[in-house]
Amino acid sequence: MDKLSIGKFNFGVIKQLSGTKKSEAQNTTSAQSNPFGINFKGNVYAADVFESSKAQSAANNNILNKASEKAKMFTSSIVGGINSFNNSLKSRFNSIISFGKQVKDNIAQSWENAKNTNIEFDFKGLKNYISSKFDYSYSVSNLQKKPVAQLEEMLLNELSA
Amino acid sequence: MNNTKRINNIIEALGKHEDTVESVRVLEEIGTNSSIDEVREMTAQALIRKNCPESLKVVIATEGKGINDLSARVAMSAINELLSLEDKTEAIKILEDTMENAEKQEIKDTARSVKTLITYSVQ
Repeated sequence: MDKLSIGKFNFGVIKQLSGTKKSEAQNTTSAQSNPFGINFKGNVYAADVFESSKAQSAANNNILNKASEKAKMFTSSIVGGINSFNNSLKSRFNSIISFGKQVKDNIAQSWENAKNTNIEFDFKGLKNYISSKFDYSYSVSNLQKKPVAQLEEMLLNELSA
Repeated sequence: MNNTKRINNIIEALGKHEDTVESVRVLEEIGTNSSIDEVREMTAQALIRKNCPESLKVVIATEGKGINDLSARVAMSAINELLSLEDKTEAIKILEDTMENAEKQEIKDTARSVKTLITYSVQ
């Protein structure tokens, strides 16, 4: 069995540990050299993205002021819109009422005209017109019932006409 | 109703009339001898639709009438009407008789070609 001695101790592990510590120290030093630098996935952004606390509060105040102004404008527009809507609604109702009155007057007038006009049906003329349009005496079913001699005469008359 | 429509109705009524012999006689004498092509065309169609030996003889075996008409329009419409008949047995019989017994060769030839058309259309 070998005796443990300092001379035989393997210093390789200690060297590795010291190497990692050194690299960490280098990283910290690089961060210290750029205090506003942001390490994001290995890329360092050197831009100064921070603003002073005073400026931020002023901006907050501005935002609040703007928001209140916008709210005022919004409410005023709603009120204005309601007023204009009421006006347009009133005008539309008025126009509908006037239209209804006009229709009523027209109906009454046309009824008066209808009462005063005489309607006559010319039944004789209507009958003649219908019989001229639909001459059933010359329909095939009616002609079939007639004797051939009569049909011969009719055909000759039509051909000579 | 105009004149043409009335003539058409009278010819159609004669074609459907129960008195076959008399109606065929009138159609042959007046209709097929008319100088108007339309009247001859309507008469030939009415005679073919009648589909009886008397009427078919007029349009198949008579010179200058039906399929033998001098007007190509009348002859073609008669052939077309023969082709559109549902029962063609009587027409084929008359065509065969005409092919054998007609006096003129022209009428025989016309009957033969129409019969060929009918047999091809049936197949």
